[in-house]
Amino acid sequence: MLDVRSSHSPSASKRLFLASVIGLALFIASNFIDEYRIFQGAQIAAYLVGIISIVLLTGYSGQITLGQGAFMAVGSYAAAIVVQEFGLPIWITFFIAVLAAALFGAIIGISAGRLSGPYLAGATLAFAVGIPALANAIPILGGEQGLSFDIGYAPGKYADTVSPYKWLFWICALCAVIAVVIAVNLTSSGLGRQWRAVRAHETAASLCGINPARSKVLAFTVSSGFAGLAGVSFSATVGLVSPSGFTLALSFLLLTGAILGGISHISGALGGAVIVVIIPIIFESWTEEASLGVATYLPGIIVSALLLLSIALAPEGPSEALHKLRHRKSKAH
Amino acid sequence: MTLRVRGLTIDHGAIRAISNATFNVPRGSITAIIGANGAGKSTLLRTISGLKRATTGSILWDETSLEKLQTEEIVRSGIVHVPEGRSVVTELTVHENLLLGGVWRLRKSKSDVYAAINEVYELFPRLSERKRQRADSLSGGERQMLAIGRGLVARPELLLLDEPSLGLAPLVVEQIFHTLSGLQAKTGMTILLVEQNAMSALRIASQGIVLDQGRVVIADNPQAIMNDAALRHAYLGF
Amino acid sequence: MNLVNTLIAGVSIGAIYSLIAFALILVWRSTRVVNFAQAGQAAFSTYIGLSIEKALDNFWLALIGAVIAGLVVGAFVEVVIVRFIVKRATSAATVTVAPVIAMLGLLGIFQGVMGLIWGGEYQAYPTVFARDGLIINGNQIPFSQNDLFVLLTVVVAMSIAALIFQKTSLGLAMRAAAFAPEVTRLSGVRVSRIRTLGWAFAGGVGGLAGVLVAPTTFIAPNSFDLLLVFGFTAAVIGGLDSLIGGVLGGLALGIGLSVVTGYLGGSYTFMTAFVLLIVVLLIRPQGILGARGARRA
Repeated sequence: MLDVRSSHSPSASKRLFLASVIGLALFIASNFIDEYRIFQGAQIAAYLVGIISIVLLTGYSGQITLGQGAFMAVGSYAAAIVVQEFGLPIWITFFIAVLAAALFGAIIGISAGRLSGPYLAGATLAFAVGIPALANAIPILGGEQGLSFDIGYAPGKYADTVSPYKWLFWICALCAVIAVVIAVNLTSSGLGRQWRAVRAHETAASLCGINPARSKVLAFTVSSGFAGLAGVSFSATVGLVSPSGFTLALSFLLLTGAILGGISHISGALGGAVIVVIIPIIFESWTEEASLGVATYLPGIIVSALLLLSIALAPEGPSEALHKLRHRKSKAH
Repeated sequence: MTLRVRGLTIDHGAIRAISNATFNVPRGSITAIIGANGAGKSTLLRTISGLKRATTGSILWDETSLEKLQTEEIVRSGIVHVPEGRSVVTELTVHENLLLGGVWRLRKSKSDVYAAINEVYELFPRLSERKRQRADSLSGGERQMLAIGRGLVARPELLLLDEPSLGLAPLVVEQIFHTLSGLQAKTGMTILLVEQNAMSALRIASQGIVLDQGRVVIADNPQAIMNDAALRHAYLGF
Repeated sequence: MNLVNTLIAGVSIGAIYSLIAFALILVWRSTRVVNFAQAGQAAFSTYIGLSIEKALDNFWLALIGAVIAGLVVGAFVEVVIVRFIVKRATSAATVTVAPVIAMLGLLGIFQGVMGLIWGGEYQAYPTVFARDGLIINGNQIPFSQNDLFVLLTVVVAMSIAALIFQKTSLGLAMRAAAFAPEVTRLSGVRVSRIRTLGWAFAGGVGGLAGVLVAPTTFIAPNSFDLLLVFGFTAAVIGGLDSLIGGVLGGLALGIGLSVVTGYLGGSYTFMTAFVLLIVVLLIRPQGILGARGARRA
């Protein structure tokens, strides 16, 4: 379904202004919130970027991916190695992570771009399982233990006044804000429409002069870049890059967040990220009284059930469903 | 059993395919629905057989309303739809395709199903020769015979045929129409036929229904249609 | 470790992959959905088998119980969930994506529920057959009595399935429904019931696979996830549209992985399966026996 709502969204400069305001607000707020919440904020920021990568690939370009965790791993490992071997400053490290992941995405996109449906799902699944296994086998990647990844303290004189958690949050939040701005710009541009067109009807799109194969590969590349950024942010919160940090469960969790937030639009990604991080915590407090079994498993059941309900009742995402509801009401008149 | 269609309106999303169609298909007759491409003929058949739901209107098969029934139930009540395009299951053999037509009543009337299959082989000897071959090795004409044969195995009271002559050589078309007409005479089966090849269809029919952009223009015997110069000109091309 | 030994070792695990591939392909052919929740269904059925075994101390009753549980769960999933989702899928893009995601959600639910009921630790699953390698001509081969039982059971199960599909009217209806659902409906066959049967059947097969493999792998809520990945790989290698292909693919995969494990060590198993999958998807996506043009959903 081609979306012409972009004619209502603000221009690029307005978006940049909005982003700066939000960024500033977050910066100020971080001085008043306690450390644990700030850490969660960093986690949410990391998941946000990861979910955006899925929204771009599956929501816009229509290519199902069960393996974003693998691209995150590529980004993380690239960053960790760069830090270990070359000790470059953070910004360059993050940038390299994005590039490495994007490159990988391009390769996978070229090979998997001819696939769709379950074949693509299976290929991405295998990728999700294979990359961590690969990391385990290659010695330079630290094997089972992995590599440490520490983004350290704020530079210079701020090292004493700014807590490491705050520093972490600033970096992750900044990455998230940048990611959102880029993503929103991309999706309201011709590229976003191109992806949607190819998703809706490949043949028709190619007749309009779009090269579907190239469009899909580009989607994979861009999406993986985002995933790489998410991976680095994520590893920063953990402090470690290891195979066990990129399980299949992570890929599924990201997909769940994307679906619950609404896979068709970037706007849903934040909601999805919050859900994914907050729900287990909510349950931790509710089930304090309950047995260990319930505490361990109920959050997973609830999230999975939400996913199932969500995809069953609103396959295109809650925002689409609301949109249709409004449409139906106006048609009745 | 008579098929009565009253005020039938069928939509494809925002497009109205059939508007307010009303006609009867009397028992034991051959009724031909003709009209230009896109006039809604296939949609009409698909709605009668339950593959598509009408927006409003009623379809009565004697006393039973068909609009809300599932396709499988409609078939089991005696209406068999042979869709357009030589609808055989290519991965199955000729014999299996025919058996498929009777598989739903295999438990209750096994011998009759096999008798029906044999009758189809007598009707279309070419199929008998290729009994064990996969359906995708058949020619276009043979596939159409197979599709019709499958429909006949169910011993329908009403046979819905969607463009049986489409894409077939004139000689084959002749043969199929000849067979249909003979079959109808012998068994008293009712046939509702949708055809672009208007002349061939009207030649064997006792009633002709002309559809134009979803509307029934006329429902009368073929002679009356051919005598009307304007109609003849518009729909029969001469 | 000589070649013959690795080949033999690969056959018995390959048989299990064949079963999983069979279940996946069956469901794929009849509903065009890849049931990623199959791992959860199989595990659930196996847990039920385990409970039966613990309660009644009878291996065979447990096996039958697990298969029946698989049949019931499979039918339940189709009737309650799959039908609803397939009906609600609105656009072409969603039709392929939605069921996959729904199945993943279902998998998560299954795993959570199993953890709740039976706990998360690995549990042993008993078998009445010896697990040590058989001794032939004074040499011990990596193939035990249990492996033989597994192999024979798989062969029998596949043969029964093949018989049903090829020789019975039910099998004819199921094949027709998978190849040409509309024509089959027009032939008076209740295609929706056939689909439920297909899912039930696949569930039963999955339960059987679980019970057969559990003695060697122990069972935990997500112990079959890997099996699913391998089963899917086997299905793709053999051809997602071909049941025979899936069976062959399973054997090929089992033997291939066994050879790799034998010569290169166990840490390369994952990667090999992954590489194999990617290679097949790139070079011959329809699999060894699949029909051309079948790679798109």
